[in-house]
Amino acid sequence: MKGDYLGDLEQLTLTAVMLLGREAYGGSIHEKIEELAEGFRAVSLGSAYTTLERLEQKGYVKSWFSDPTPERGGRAKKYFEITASGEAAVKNSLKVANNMLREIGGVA
Amino acid sequence: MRQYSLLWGHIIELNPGLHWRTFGHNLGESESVVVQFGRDWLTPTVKMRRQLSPDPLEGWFFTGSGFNAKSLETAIRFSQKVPPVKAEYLFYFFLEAKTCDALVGDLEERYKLILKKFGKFKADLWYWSQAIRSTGPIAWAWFKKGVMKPVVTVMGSKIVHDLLKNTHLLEIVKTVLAEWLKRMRG
Repeated sequence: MKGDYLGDLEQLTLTAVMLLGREAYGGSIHEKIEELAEGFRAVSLGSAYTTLERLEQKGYVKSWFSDPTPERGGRAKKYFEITASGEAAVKNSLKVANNMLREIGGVA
Repeated sequence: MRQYSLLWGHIIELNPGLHWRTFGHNLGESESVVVQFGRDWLTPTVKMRRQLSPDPLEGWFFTGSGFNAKSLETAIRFSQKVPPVKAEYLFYFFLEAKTCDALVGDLEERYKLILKKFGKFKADLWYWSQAIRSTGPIAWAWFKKGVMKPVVTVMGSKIVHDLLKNTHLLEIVKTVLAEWLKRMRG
């Protein structure tokens, strides 16, 4: 769909949220991003949060807070869930990446 | 005699006679910690007990005299189980309080994990590199949202207003735009 273009950090973040499902909160999303980026891109926790906020404003994710837990010093977790339009945006971005890969004959 | 405990990372003062005072077990002499009050290192007459808890610090409580909740909080920092200084002060200015709490909670959660696996030096290094690297993007996002957008809007409307008043300038802009369109189509 036209207008669903995502930046590379947005693409990484949305993919991480999609892969984590019900376990997607700030910390786990940040770890997943690092895992997906495989050291090619360093992303701070703050960058992950600002990207998630931007994605929420675009309607690609929705968020809610859990109850506070003692393990986190009485702080709540902010959980995220991908929306239907978010999933569509990720799939469109991956389709474009796939097309580019096909055109250049794959990568090693 | 005053009694203190840790609850969700915060020192709380206990009222005597609480039923869970007898919960847990006494630690041996060799298990007491060295506590720093101000500049002096002391081994105070602090009896420590521990409740069953997944967090190594949660559920500890202290009895003793000659110190207060604030100095005990300092002591807990020296017991190397919590980050040296809380980074939340860096973020509270730019983020909504609940989101800031969640971010600091994530930082502390990972800090404890690294501390357990690799020790204090690496945990401190990770914590502060994350805290410092996170400040830039958060401050920039806040600046864009809170400062740049209103400034650009005001400046844009001022330019448009001035353009509409100045017919000569308007003619120049029209000519440049027409030329640009012609080139784009060509």
